[in-house]
Amino acid sequence: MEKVRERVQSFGFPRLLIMAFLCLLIIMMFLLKIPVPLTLSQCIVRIGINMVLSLAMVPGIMAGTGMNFALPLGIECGLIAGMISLETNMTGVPGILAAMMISVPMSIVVGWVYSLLINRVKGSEMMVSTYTGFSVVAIMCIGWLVLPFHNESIVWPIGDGLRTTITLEKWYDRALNRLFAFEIVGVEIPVGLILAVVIFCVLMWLFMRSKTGMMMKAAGANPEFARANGIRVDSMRTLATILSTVLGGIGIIIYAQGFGFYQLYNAPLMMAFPAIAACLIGGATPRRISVFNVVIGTVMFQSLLAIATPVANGLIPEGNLSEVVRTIVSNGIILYALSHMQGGKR
Amino acid sequence: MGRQMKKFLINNAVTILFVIICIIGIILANQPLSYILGEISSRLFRNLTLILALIIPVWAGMGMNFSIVVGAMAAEIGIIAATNFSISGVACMAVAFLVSIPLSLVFGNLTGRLFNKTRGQEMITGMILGFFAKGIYDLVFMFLCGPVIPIKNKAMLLTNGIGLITPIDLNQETKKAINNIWKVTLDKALYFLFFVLIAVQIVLIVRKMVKNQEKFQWKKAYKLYASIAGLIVYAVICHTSETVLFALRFTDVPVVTGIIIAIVCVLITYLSRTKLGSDINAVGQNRAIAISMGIPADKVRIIAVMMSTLLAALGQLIFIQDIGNFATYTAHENVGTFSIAALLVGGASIKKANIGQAILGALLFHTMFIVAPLAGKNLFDNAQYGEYFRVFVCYAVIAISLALHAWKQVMAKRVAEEAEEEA
Amino acid sequence: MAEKAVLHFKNIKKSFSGNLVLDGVDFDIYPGQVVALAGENGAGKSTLMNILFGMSVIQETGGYEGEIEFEGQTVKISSPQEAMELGIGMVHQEFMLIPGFTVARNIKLNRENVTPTMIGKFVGRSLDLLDTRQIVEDASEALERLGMEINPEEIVEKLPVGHMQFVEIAREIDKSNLKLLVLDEPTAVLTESEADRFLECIRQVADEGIAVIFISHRLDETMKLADKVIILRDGQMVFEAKTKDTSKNQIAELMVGRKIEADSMVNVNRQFDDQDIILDLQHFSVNMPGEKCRDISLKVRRGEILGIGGLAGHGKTSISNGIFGMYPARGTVLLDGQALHYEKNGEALKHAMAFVSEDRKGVGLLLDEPISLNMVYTDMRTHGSYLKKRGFFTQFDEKAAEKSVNDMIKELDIRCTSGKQLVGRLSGGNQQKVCVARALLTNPKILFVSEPTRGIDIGAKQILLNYLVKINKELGITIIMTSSELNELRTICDRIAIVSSGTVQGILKPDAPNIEFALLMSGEKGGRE
Repeated sequence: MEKVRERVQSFGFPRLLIMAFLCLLIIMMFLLKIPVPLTLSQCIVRIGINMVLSLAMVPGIMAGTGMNFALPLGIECGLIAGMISLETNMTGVPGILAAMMISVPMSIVVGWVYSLLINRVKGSEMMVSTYTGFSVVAIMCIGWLVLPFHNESIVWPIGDGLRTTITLEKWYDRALNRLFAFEIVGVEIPVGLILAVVIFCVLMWLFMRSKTGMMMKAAGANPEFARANGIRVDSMRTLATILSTVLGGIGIIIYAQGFGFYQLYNAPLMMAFPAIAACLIGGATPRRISVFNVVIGTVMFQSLLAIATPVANGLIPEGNLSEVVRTIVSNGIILYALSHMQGGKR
Repeated sequence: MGRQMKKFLINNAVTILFVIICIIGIILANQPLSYILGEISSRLFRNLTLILALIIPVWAGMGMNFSIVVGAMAAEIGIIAATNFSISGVACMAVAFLVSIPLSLVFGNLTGRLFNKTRGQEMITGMILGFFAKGIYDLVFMFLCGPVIPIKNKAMLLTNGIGLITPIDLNQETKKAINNIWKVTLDKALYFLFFVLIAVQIVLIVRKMVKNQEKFQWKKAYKLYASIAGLIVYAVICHTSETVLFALRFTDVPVVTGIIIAIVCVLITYLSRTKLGSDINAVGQNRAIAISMGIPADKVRIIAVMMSTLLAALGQLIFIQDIGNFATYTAHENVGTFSIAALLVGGASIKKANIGQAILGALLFHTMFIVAPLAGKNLFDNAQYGEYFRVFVCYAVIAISLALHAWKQVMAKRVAEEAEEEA
Repeated sequence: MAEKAVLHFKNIKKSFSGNLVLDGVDFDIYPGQVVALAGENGAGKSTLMNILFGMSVIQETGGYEGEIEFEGQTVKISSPQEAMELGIGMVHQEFMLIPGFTVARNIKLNRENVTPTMIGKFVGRSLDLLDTRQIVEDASEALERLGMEINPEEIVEKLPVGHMQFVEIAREIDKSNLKLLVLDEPTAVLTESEADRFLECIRQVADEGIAVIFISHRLDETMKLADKVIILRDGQMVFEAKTKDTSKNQIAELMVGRKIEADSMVNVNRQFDDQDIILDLQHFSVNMPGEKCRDISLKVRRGEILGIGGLAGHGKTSISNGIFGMYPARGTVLLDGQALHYEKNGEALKHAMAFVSEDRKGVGLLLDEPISLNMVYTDMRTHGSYLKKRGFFTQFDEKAAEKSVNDMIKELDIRCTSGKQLVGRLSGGNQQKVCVARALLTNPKILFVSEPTRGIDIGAKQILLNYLVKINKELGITIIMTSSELNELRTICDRIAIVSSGTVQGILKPDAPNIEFALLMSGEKGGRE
C-alpha cells in the first residue's frame, strides 16, 4: 500500500486523474458509437500540429528561465512570416518552408531583444513573460491594422488591415499533412506532418545531448555549478530564449497549415498555456524537461481534447464542453506544477 | 534639488506618462467636458472598490492579487441566486451580498492556502487560479445548472434547459438600485467633500491639541490650509466658468455608493493601525523575521487574501448594479487585469499601495479608457486603434511595472554588494 | 552565590545520525552572571543553543539526552515560543529587525500595546488599535536602560548598522520576564568603538540581574566581559573556570586543544625550493558575502600542500572562490609568473587549475544528474573530452565517459550501484569523492580543495585525505586546501596559512604549538614563517 502511494505521489495525482479521464472518454467514445477512425485521424493531426509549440518549452526550462509564457512573441513572428508568404502567393509545401525561413531571422532578433529583458528580471520571469506576451499580442493587433499588406485575399474588403481569420485554401491548406499521406482502415496518416514533427523532436533531442545542450542544462539546473565551470549563464539563457522563440514561430506555421487557418489579432493571446500544460502533463516540471515528456504530454493532452469534443457533443449537444475541459485541465495542471515547485528547489 | 527631481520623475514614471497620455487623449477626443466628467465620475464609483480590494495583499508582501477574479465570481453567484428567487431592488443587492460573503471568504481561504504553497509566485498563481476558476465556473453554470442544480426562475435558463443565458439582466428596479437611493449633482458633492475635509482636519488638530496640551501650531496645519485653499479655488472656478458649472451640474453622484466606498477606505485605514495590520505589514516586509518573532505568518497571509476576496465581491456587486447586467461567463475575466493596471498607474508598486494611489489610478486609467477609442476615431477614423491601444496600455503597464520592480531588486542587491565592498 | 541558578544544563548529550556532537555538557548560570561560551566552529555551541530554544531540528533528529533545569524546574522546551515564554531571549548574529518599521515598533514587535475598540471587542482582539504612544514610551525606556540615544520613531532602515544590534538588545530587555539572554557573536558586525559600547550595555543588562550567555570568537571581549568561561571542543566541555583565574593564552590553547601525534603529520619535513613559485597572490581581495577577504598576499611553492585555516566568516574560503571567478575580486594573481584574468569565468580552469567547492550541494554538484555526468562535466567543458562529432552536432560520448568514471569510482572507493546513480542519492562522503574526481579528471596542475571533509563520516574522511596526499606525491599536483578543521590541515599540509579578519595573519609549520595557531586565529598578530 505504502509503495502504491509513493508511486502515485511521484507520478503526480493530477496526471493519474487526467489519464483516468482519458480512459473514460475512450470508453464513452465506443458507448456513444462515435466513429473511431475519424476521431483517431483528428487526434493525430492535433497532436502533430501542437507538438512543435510544446517543444518550444524545452530550451527555456533547460536553461532555467522556466516555462516560456512569452511564447506569443515567437508566434507573432511566425504569423508575420506567414502573412508575407501569403502576400507573395507562395503555395504548397515550398510555401510553408519559405514561411518558416522568413520567420527564423525575425524570431532570432525578437528573441534576443526579449532575452535582454528576461536576464534582468531573474526570479520573476514567469509573471514578466506572461504580460510581455500579452502586451505584444495587443500591440500587434494595431500592427495587423497598419502593416502594409495589400493582397486582396488577406485584407478586409472594406476598412483597414488584415482579416481576423484567413483560410489557407488558396495557398497551403494542410499541405504538409497531405504530403505522402495515406489511409489505413479509415484512419488518415499525415506522413508529411509526422515527418516534420519527428525531425524537430530528433533535432531537439540531439541538441540536448550536444556540448551546448549539456552546458545549457547545467546553467538551468544549478547556475552556481555552471559558473564554477566557466559557463556564462546569461548567454545560455539568451540562447535558450532565442531557440524557444524560433520554435514558437515555426510551430505556429505548422499549426496554421494543419488547422487550415491563420488566426490573427487576439488569437495568440492564450496560446502558451496549452503548450505549457502539455509538457507538464507529460511529466515535465518547471525545472526539468525532456523531449519524451513533451511527446507523451502532447499526445495525452491533445487526444484528450480531440476525443472530448465529439463525446461532449454526444452528451450535451449545445455549449462548448470541450473548451471548458481544456480550461480546467490546462490551468489545473499548471497550478499543480506551481504548488510543487518549492519542493523542487534546492 | 535636481537629483530629487530626477528621483521623483523616475519613481513616478508610469503615473506621469499616464497624465500625459490622458491630456493628449482628452484633447484628441474633442468631447464636451460634461460628457468626459460624467463618464469619469460614473466609472470611478463603479470600479474603485475593486481596486481598493487589491491593497491589503500588497501589504502582506504577496504582490498584486490577480485572484480577485474569484471574489468577483462570488458576487456573480450571489446575484444569480437572488435573481433565481426573483428578488429585486435593493433587497436583491442585499441578498446577493449576503450570499457572496461566505462564498468569498471560503474562496479567499482556499486561495490563501494555495498562495502559502506557492510562496514567491503568488501573482502567477493568482492569475492561473483565475483562469482555472473560470473553467469550474463555466462547468457549473453552463452545464450543471438545469440538469443537476435546480433553477427556479426558468427565464434564466437557455431554451433547452441546460445552462444559464448570457447576459443576465437585472430588472428595472434592481438596476442602479444602490446608486439611485440618493443622488446629488457633482457641484454640490464637491462642496460637501471640501467641507468634510476641512471639518476632519479641524477635529484632528483639536484632538491633538487637547491630548498633547499644546497650543495651535500654525506651521504644521498645512493640510488644513490646502483644504481651505482648494475650497476657495473651487468656488471661484464655479462662479467664473459657465461650462465647468454646467458640466458639474450635469453629472450625478451616487451618494450611497460613495458612502460605501468611504466606509471601505476608513476600514482599510483602520486596519493599518491595528495589531493585525501591523502583523500583515511585518509579514510582508520580512516573513522569516516575523515568524521568528512569533507572528503566525501563514495565517496572516490567508486573512489578507480573504479580506481582499471579500472586498472584490463587494466591488463586483457595485460594478454590476451600476451596469445593470453582466455577461454570465465573461464578466469576471478582466476584473483582475484592469484593476491591477489602474492601481499601478496610480503609482503603486508590488510592495507599496495606498488608498490615494487607488483613487488617482482609477481616475487616470479610466480617463484613458474613455478617451482612447474616441481619440483613435478622430485621429485615424477608426475606433479600433484606440480600443487596441487601451488594451495594449493595460497589459504594458503591468508588464513594465513588474519588470521595473524585478530589475530594481536586482540592482539594489548589486548596489548593496558594492557598498559593502567599499566599506 | 547563594542565589538559585537560572539555568542548569545537566549532562546534555546529542547525536546526529550516530555522530556524537554534544557529550556531557554540564554547567549552570546565575542571575547577573555573564558566561562566555567558546570553541571552534563545529564544537557544539550552536547545537547546545538549538536545544535550549527547542528548535525543530533537534526533535526531528531524535531529541537529546540529559536535562535542562530552568529556575530549579526541569523543563522540556519544544519550541522557540516556549523558550520565549520562560524568559529566554536571543540576539542573533544577523539582524532580526523589520526594515520598514520604526525602532519602537520593532522593539515591541508582536508584543504591541493596544487600546481596545468596539470592533476589536466583537471581531477579535487582533483588530484593536495600536497604542502608538505607549509603544514609543516603552521603547524609549528600554533604550534608556541601555544608555543608548536612539530616536524610537526612526525607521530601522535608516539607522547606522552599528545601532541595530542595540535595538535588538532593547527588544529583549523590554520583555518583562526576561531572565536569560543569549548573544550569538553579537559584535561580529560592529566596529571597535561600537563593540566597546555594546559590551558596556551587556554589563548593564547583567547588573539588572539578567543572566547572559555570550558566544564570541574575540578573546579580548571574552576576557573583558565574562565572569565565567566555558570551552567546548568536539562536543565535550573541556574547561570551566572563572575568568579571573584564567588567561587569554590558556583559553586559546584549550579551544584548539587536541593533542596530535607527531607521526601523523606526514608532510612536516619536506623541502621545497622557495624560489619556484607556482601561484603568487598579491594584495588579493574578494567580496564574498559573509566571507570577505582583503589584501591577501601569499606565495605557493610548486608541489607543496598549502593549508589555509581560520575561523568561519573571516574570509579563508573566499580565496579559491575569487580565483575561480565566483565573486568579484581585485588584486594580482600570478600563475607561473603570468597574470591570471580571474575575473573571466572559466579562465582558471583553462590554466589547469581545478576547484572543489566548500558548498558541495550548492556549487559542487548537479544533484539530479548521474554520477558519470557530474564527474566528466568539467573536463568536457574545458577540454571538450567525452564528445564525438555527429554531423553538425557534437554528441555526449557515454562509452568514453563510462570508462573514466568507473576507474574513478574504483580508485576512490565510491559506494554506489553504478555510475548511473543520481548524485543526490549518495551519502555526503561519496558526493565529496565525486567532486574530487571531477576536479582530477581535468588533469590539474593546481588543485583547490575547500572544506573537503565537512559533514562526512570518518571513513570517507580518511580516504579523501590519503588520496590527496597520494596525488600530491605521485602526480605532483600542488594542492591548496582550505579547512576549518585545523587538525586535518596539520595531518597533510606542508605549511598552514591562517586567515583572520580577511588577511593572512601568518604562516606556520604543521608542528607549531597550538597556542600559536590559536592566537593567529583570534587575530593577534605574531607567529612566524
